[in-house]
Formats: sequence, structure tokens, C-alpha cells
Amino acid sequence: MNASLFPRIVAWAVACFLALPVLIMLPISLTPNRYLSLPKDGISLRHYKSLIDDPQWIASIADSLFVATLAAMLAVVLGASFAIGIWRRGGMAERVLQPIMLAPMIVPPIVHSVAFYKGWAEIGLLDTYTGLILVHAMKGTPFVILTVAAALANFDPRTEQAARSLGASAGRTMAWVVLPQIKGGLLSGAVFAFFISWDEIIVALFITMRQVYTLPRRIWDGLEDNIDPAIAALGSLMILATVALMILQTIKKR
Amino acid sequence: MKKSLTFNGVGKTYGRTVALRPTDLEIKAGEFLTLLGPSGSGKTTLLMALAGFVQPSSGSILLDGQDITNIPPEARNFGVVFQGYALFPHLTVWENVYFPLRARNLGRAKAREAVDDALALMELKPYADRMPAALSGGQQQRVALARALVFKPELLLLDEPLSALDKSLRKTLQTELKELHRKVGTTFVYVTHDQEEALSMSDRIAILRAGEIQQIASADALYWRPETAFVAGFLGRSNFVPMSGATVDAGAVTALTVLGPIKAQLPRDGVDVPRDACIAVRPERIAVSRQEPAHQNRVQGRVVSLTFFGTHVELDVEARGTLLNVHVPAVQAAQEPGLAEGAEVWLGWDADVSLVLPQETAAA
Repeated sequence: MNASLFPRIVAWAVACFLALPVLIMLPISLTPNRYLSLPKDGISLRHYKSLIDDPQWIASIADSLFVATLAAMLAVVLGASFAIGIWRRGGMAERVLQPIMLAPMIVPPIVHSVAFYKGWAEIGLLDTYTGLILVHAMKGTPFVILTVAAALANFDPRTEQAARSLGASAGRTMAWVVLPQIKGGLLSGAVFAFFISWDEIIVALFITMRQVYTLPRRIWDGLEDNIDPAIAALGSLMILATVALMILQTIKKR
Repeated sequence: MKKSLTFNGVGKTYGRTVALRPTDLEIKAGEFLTLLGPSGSGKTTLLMALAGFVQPSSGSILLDGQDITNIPPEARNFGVVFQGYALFPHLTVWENVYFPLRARNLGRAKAREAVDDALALMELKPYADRMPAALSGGQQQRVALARALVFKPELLLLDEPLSALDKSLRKTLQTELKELHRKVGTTFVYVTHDQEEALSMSDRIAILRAGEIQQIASADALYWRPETAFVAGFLGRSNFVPMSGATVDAGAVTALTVLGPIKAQLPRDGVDVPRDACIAVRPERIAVSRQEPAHQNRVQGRVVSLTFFGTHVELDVEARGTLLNVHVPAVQAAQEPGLAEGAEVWLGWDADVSLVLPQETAAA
């Protein structure tokens, strides 16, 4: 009994360590006060209301969704093209090019930020959607390369030859045989790339100002002057959305 | 739709590696041709060049006189059954078979009859809606065949289609494939390293070694009239006795060997005794007896080992320092008293079963 108790305590402690900071947001978001605090005298939904009422929050959510969606799409196109091309060539090209393409994961974001700040200033892409989407796509591409490469590892290259021998052109073979079989890798790569952009703040701080104002940036700026519990409300909503997605997924699998 | 195929000096090199030496080959309309050889002999390269997946480094491929060397695989209209079948795992059996018709821009409704016919031919009707992963190996094989035949190809290419199956199933499918060839009448080109498969199904067999066709003939012609020592050894078994010289008198060869002079034959008329030659004799063509036999060639030896195989008894006989493998029908061995390990015996065979063959035709 005692022997099995200790690992259980450790397990629960670890679980709490991981989950509590996330869960604490729920009560904070329900505080009736105007500052970050745990609710004492009753609860209130005023911060959720302010999220909806304040056009600035809505604008930033829209900005983030727009940037993240386009960045993810671009990252999937670039990453999948690269992964498929390199998978087909193999050999030397794969060994040399693959690490180079994964470099954006390794380079510190602050280095990227400074570089793009200077570069974008030169060509007028500062504080534009195009500028931010390009950088976010670049940051998401390595994740797509990794997930698509993993999917291709389980792909039987003979099915591609089979499709060609059965009369399908190279393009149709790609659309009918290759892409459907690596769908999982494309999808998880897209999800990765989306959240890389959704979360990204460092580059956004450097290369955006007023025209493009993403959610992480607004949260950051909000924290600087006054700590608005609307941030906790926003966080809670995102957690609830994630949980809902996971439940849906589980139901679908059954 | 039967068409003949011609290879004119088709060769393939990868850098300095020669996968296929310039090869001439004639594939007759409607025949079942097997490319047989050990791995690395170039048989798969030959097949892939035919399918259009390997671009030959030299030579040309003609289909009924038309050059198809540079035509991409999808425009060749050849069915291919791949090793491991290469079924599309994300499509049902029906959709797999429909695939080539879809690629030919045929709608589902228009293609239905042809797909259903192909499935019926392969007895796959009940499995039409299953995914390939839910089928047994034999069933997957039949799906691959249905898919490769549904568009009435001019040629069906099969790359070791049975190698993934267990032995008893292989036997059944060999019979089915032969039957299928008879039914559809399409030209079959079949690649295998299994000589039993080759012998049981083919009209003709091409034996390949080190990127070169050694000999191409019907199964029994290859077995009884091999033209190189490699063919004699690869298809069935042979005893090889090295030669140190020979005298030729009106087509009759007398070879000088460690076993003494041996009366032998050249594999066909009009060939000279090769420089580096040996005598090849099939184990079942050597007679064993206790008394001196009346055969043209006779040697005395001692039985080193004797193994009973049910239908026949296999003997290793040592004669003048050379080991000879001999197969005696079990019934006959039973009538030969004193045939045991250590026994002194006579071996006898005639000139027409000892062939003078070149030992090394393929340069290493």
C-alpha cells in the first residue's frame, strides 16, 4: 500500500504543477474586480462581456486568425513541396538541405526579429500583413517538413509507380495517391504552423505597430499598462475551445 | 489486344555500375515470358525499362515496330503488378480497380461494368467495399491483378508477385496465373528468382546473370539443352567436370578430364569447343550399378553419402577425387543390393547427356 502511494503522490503533484497554472485562469476570469484577482464576493462575466464589446479585442483576434491561417497555408505548401521533393531525390541533397531547412527552429527568434526588422524596413514590408505572414510562414515551415517527412516514411513509393503505370499523370498521381496518403502529416503540420503564428510575439513586437495588431501583441501591451482580467477570460475561452476540440476528436474516433 | 515487343540493344548503367548490358530481346504477342535470375542480375531493371520507370542508357524499345523508349509510363498502357502489390491503402477494393479507368477519364457509372467484370474474373465481388488492409495476401494479389487488367492493357508486367506469399498459396496462385493468361490472352512478362515458378508457368524463360541474358528458350529446352554452365547450374542441378582439352571428330567430342576421356556433345551444331569449358551432366542421367555398365562413359567410384528423399535417393559418389551427385529413383535403388555408404559402384552415362559448356561467359 505504502509502496504504491509514493509514486501516486508524485504523479498527482506533477499533474497539478502542469495543470494548475492553466486552471487558475478560470476563476480569475470570473472576478468582479477590475484588476487580476480571485473572485471573493460573487462572480461576474463582465470580462467576457468586455471581450465581445471591445472592438479592439475583436480586431486583434481577427488579425491573429487571418495571419495564422495564411501563414499556415503558405507553410504547408512550402514545407510539403520541400519534404516531397527531398524524399524523392534522397541522398546527398537530403542530407545537406534538410538541416538548412530546419534552421528556423534553431535560430533564436530575437535574431530573426532584428534581421527582418532591418530587411522589411528596406523594402517597405514593416507593419504589413504580408511582412508578418511571410515571417510566420518561414517559422512554421520546418514543422510541416518534419510532419510530412514522418508521413512519407510510411508511404510505399511503389503506389506512386503503380498509379503512373495505371495511366495517371504525375499531377494526378500527386493529387490522387500521394497527398491523400500523407493527409495526416499535412494536417498536423498545418496545426503546428497555425499555432506557431497564433502564439508568436517576438517578431510581431519588432515588425508590427498599428496596422497589424495580433492578439499576443495586444495581450503584451495590455500587461504593460494595466493588468486586465479580460486576458484571463480570453485564455479561458481558448482552453475551453481546445478541450471541446479534443472531446469532439475522441467522439469521432469511436 | 496482342502486341509484340522488341528490345534493341537496351542497356542501363548507373554511374559506373552496369545494371543491364545492351540487350536484344523479342517478346512474342500473347506469350508468357519469364525473366529468371538471381538478385542483381538485371531482371527488374529490364522490367522497369519496359514499364517506363527506368530510362535506358542505350538502345530502344519497340512496340509493334513503334519506338516507345521515351514514352512516359502512364502513356504506355501496360499493366504492372508490383512486388508487394502496391495497392492504394486509402481506397476500397472497388476504387482501386476503378483507378486506371478514372485516369482514363471514365465516370464511375460508365466504368461500373468493366470494374465489376474484373472483380468477378478474380472472384473478388464480395470484397468490393473493403479496404486493402482488410484482405489476405492472396486476395490483395488478386486485387492487384484485377486493377492491372481492367483497362485491357497491351502487356501485363509482373514483378515477383508471389514472393510475399507462403508456399502452398504460391502453388495455387501459379496455377491461377497460368489459367488467367490463357483466359485473357494478353502478353505476360513475369520476373522471378524462383525457378520452380518459372518452370511451371512460362512459355519461354530468359535466364539473366550479371546484367545479361544468358539464354532464352522454353523450359524443357533450357533444362535439357543449356548453353552455359550458369544456366545448367541455375535451372535444376548439374555435375560439372572441368576439361583440360578436347578432340572433335565429326561433331563427336572427346573431352580430357580428371575422370579420363569423356564422350560428350556440344549444346548445338555449329559451335566450337569454348576455351574455358566444362562437362555438365544432370544427376538423374547418371546410372549407378554394381557391375560395369554398357554406357559410353563409365567411371568407378565409392559412395560417400546416401540420402533418401522418398521419390528418389541422392548419392554423392567420389570418383578419382571428384564428387559426383547422382539421383536414383527410389524403386530402382531398392532393387540394387548393397547400395550403401562406402560401397564401390560404377557410374555410367552416354555422350548425349554430357554437354560441353562454356564456364564463364559473363565477365565479372
